[in-house]
Amino acid sequence: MTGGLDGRVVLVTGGGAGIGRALCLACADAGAHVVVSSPGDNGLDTTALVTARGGSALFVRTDVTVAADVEAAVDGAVQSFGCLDAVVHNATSRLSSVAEPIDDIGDDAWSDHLAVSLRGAYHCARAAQPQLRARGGSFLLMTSPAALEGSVALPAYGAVKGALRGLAKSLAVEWGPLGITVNCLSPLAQTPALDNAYRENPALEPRLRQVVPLGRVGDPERDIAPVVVFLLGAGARYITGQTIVVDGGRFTGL
Amino acid sequence: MIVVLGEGAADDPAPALAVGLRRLGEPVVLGAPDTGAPDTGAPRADGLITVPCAMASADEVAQALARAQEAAGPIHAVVLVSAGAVATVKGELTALEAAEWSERVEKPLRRTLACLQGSHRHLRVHGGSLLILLPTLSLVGSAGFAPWAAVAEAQRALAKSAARAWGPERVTVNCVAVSGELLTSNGAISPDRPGLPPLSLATRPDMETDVAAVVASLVTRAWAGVTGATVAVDGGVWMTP
Repeated sequence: MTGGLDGRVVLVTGGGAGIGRALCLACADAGAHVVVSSPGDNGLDTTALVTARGGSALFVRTDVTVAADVEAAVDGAVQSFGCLDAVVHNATSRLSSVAEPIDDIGDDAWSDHLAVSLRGAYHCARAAQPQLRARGGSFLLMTSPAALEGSVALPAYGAVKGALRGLAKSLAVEWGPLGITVNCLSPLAQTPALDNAYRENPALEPRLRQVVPLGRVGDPERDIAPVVVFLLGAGARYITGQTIVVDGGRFTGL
Repeated sequence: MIVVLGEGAADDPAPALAVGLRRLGEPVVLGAPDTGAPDTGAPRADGLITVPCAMASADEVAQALARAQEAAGPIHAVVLVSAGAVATVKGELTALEAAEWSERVEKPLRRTLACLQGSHRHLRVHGGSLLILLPTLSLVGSAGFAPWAAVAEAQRALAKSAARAWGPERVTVNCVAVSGELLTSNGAISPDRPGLPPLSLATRPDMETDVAAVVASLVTRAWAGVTGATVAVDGGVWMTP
């Protein structure tokens, strides 16, 4: 393997599909041992794809809303690969792409968003910090354009992704003395969730092409994952507390 | 009339804001779980009219606002002052137990959503303003306050979404960022990052005079074209974008 993550151990939540799968593949291609965390069998598929490309991966079935599951994923990394260098919390609620105006958000949907994105981040932080601290590691939270700009269709999703930005900024200050970097990445990428959104709203695809200066929605593996690989590598060791926007120039307001 | 929603307790910042707004000539009602009033319907010792409101659900908030309206006239603005005292306690994230996480993060966010949804039911009739007061530490981060920062950044994102959704109804939604010291009763424990940068103005803005004056202005027609924004009233400490 060649790349910026040789021998490093990276845990990716929500690694079974979409951007999470792309991150697993890219990190493995860059030389990392990857812990694929997913609540479903699609994590096994990601693991198989990684190994088929000659990479190293371990699947740990993980519901990030359950602290013990996240602790088991961290333990799995340590037992299988000896350490943990980085966590990418990418998992989101299955309702993430389901449009629901703010007036209509009910307790169940709100709770699910809070549980997966936000409580999941808390579980990841708590379980992984001792390992990250020992290695000068990285903690990366996947946020969203909906957090930066707000969203009429996805206000609950935007709220919890915004919360992750607050969490990341304060954790960066809190964990800086421990040698841990904490950042957010806001991607605009072609994912199964975006495909669903296109089906519900056919006008969305041409509109997105129009508003993105680079004229296209990013490819998870070619456009988003390389930035994540960089952020988890030695070259980014002086970057912390930031939201890195990888969206073809869609959002230029930071 | 402006409704200020907060905790209502002696160390809660909401009454100070409400008192400041009243001094500026604004009719004000304080909504809080603990109103501090001697009897139901009677004003507090500081003269504030109060309505009980725990912000437990949109229905409960809407009902509280209806009572406020009966007591003091049509509502043109609602201000959510605090995420709740428990959200502002300092501590390392890794030392936080699951139950504390729920109390300090998830409960305040449920209250925020209820406040927005319940307030919208009133404001959409004639238009109006929603404001959320939050700490500047959410903009820049602060060790020991990750849960509070998470709550505040979620509130900012939610405010932007609401601003986009409700703008056509002439309902604006904005945030006012103030020093965390004004929103917490932790006393000597400053929630702000130590060391840098220094205060630009001679004195740090206070709630009753300085923040109240900005809030009173933000809910007027002069600001009808501003929504989804965060206005920092921190004396020029951070000067964030």
